[in-house]
Amino acid sequence: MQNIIIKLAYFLTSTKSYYSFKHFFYEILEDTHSKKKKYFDFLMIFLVLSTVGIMIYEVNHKSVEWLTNYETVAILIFIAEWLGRFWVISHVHKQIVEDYEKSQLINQQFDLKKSIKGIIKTKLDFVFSPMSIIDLLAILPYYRPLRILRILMLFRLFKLLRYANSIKQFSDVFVEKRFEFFTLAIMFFMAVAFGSTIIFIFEGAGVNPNINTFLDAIYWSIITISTVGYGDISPVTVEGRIATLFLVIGGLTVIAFFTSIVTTALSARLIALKEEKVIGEANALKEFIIICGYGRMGKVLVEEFIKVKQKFIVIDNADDIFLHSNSQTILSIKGDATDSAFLSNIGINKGASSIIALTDNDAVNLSIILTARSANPNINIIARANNPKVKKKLYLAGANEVISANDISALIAAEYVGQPIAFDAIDDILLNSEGAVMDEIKIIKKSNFIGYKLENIDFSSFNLTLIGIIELSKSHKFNFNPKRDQFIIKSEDILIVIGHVESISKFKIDLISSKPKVSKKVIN
Amino acid sequence: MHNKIIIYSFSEISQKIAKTLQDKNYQVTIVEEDEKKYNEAKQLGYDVKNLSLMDDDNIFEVGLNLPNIKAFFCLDDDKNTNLFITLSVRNINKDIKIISVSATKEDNKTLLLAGANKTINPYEIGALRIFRTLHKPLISNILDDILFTKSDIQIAEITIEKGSIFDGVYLDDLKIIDKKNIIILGITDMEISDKFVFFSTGINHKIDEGDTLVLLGHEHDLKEFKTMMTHII
Repeated sequence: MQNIIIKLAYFLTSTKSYYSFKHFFYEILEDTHSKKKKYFDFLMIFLVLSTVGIMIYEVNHKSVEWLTNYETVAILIFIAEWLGRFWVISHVHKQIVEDYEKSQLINQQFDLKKSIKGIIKTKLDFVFSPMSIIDLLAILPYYRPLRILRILMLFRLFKLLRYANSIKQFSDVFVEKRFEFFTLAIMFFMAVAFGSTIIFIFEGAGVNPNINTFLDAIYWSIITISTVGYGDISPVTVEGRIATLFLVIGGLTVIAFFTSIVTTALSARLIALKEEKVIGEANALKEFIIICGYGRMGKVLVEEFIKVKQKFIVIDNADDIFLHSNSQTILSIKGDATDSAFLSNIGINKGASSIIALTDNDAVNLSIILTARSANPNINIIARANNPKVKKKLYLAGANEVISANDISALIAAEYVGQPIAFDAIDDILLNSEGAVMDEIKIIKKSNFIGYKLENIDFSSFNLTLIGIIELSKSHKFNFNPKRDQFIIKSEDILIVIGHVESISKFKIDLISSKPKVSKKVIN
Repeated sequence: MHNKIIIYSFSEISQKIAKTLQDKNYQVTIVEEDEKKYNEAKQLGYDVKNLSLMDDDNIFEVGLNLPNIKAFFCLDDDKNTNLFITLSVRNINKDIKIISVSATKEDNKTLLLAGANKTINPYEIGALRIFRTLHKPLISNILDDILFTKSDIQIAEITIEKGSIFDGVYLDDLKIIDKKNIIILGITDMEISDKFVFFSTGINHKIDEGDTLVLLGHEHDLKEFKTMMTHII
């Protein structure tokens, strides 16, 4: 028997289709970053709201058959959902295999019972988790004979918490601030106890016709303390009125306390919620760039990235990073880029293609480089060197490229002294200004020009200046100003041109569609 | 000789500029108000003066009023000081070349208004450099080779003198350039304005005396071309 179970467990572990089948359900039910779960959640929210609607309708209407059938289907889906969660919450076969292998490792007899006990425990933990209990209670009221259970119908509304992540965050506030709420509850309880006892002593014994039992006294004090004050019971004696005054002041304190706890907790949560959303969005990105530090350089860089629709996320440890980047197109998060856990949370191992250490502190930049390099050996790291002397160290730490703004600026500035007009030209190219840009154009494999001489490509009617050609096939050899009547175009050659942005894009389109004018092909 | 350069404020960037210009045989003087920085610069062997240029008398003292200064670099960290000094120097010397450092695009405008000929924004230049490395790595490499390393391919400018063989020729007719393996990037056509225009704007400019061509080519080709250019018929 034991052998059969172990064999079955091994079989399931090695069956890929079973894994992907189960993973599909896991994604739907538990993976908060999955898109499929979103659709599923919408369906469930609709089902919950509609069945609750039906129940409300049936309070003072006769039940309609198709509505009852609809509810049955909904309940079946609820049950299936709960069973599904019960199934995907842990992997029985994996646990057995793991335990078996562990026992083999230490040369011990495999104890199946112990393994099963562990499995049952994790499953039971799930069954008795608050969310699972809510699920079960939401199913129960369907059982009509137990009419009293109708009140449990409300639990279906609680079920909504499962599907709306942000609502769950708010309910977490109560768990987080339980100490404060506990203190508050004691204060409240004491105020109510004092208030109701005093009023009962002074007005309970037939003095006030409205206060007959101690419950009346408690009811009165709670209505008063909460500042609701219906006025159906009001004190008639001087002592009672004095007690009321104190109770009202106490009530205000309790409410002020309550409000402050909830607002501080919620605002803290709000930031966490936003961060979670940003992290979720970043994790969904592919080929994005992490920018660490949002200063003057960061701003310019971000502007350029937006222009070319490059995906990126900005990390800064300033409190008001969200304010800084007031545009919604900027994905930004407050955090410490030297913290490896934080970086991997953002997705340095997933979709990030490059990380840029851009702070104005070289020590911090060095730390970012090391953290990023240790987290992902393949990522492209670019760093800013504030002091040109630390360039070497930054390379040593693992940066792929180190840029010293002062160095480049000084070289350009010096150029201006000798050749001011050439400087203008450089400035225009370097600053991506509107005059002209330098761009690369790749010869695609299907290009009509492959095998023809360079003179067949018409640069002048597009007002482009050809600077040179990079030959990918010859390990990126750069041919400066190649001879038009000699150079033969190959697939994957890259043309480097200077020209207006628009003429370059027109040229690119033309290059794909047009054919060489001269029909003498040099080679095949 | 117009080879004197004056730099205001001693910092990382001014050191770098001073070194680059000294390599090109310019005579560089640094003016620094702060005594600590002044001593530091002195120790490093620079020609330094311990003065503040906020006072017009000092501007005269360092000789910024004289016509023999090739350029003045205003590189103070403080934006307002930069503005003040740029304006004062421009007021005293109408013809001097002033290059000021700025931190934002808005500063660029005010500095130009105050009389600077050029502004340098290291943050912008650095950020765009990073952008290029990521976005167009191939071009970035080529530009680096041309601009910042002492590679064979260089950028150069040539002003047309009276009687040059190119005086009166149209840009499109410069067939000779093809043979020389030189690329014309653009021209400042003084007939139109003193602003540089790329060849690729599509206007066929007529080259006249006083126009400046910006060229790209191998060092020896450029040299040959320059001698040919100045050749008077």
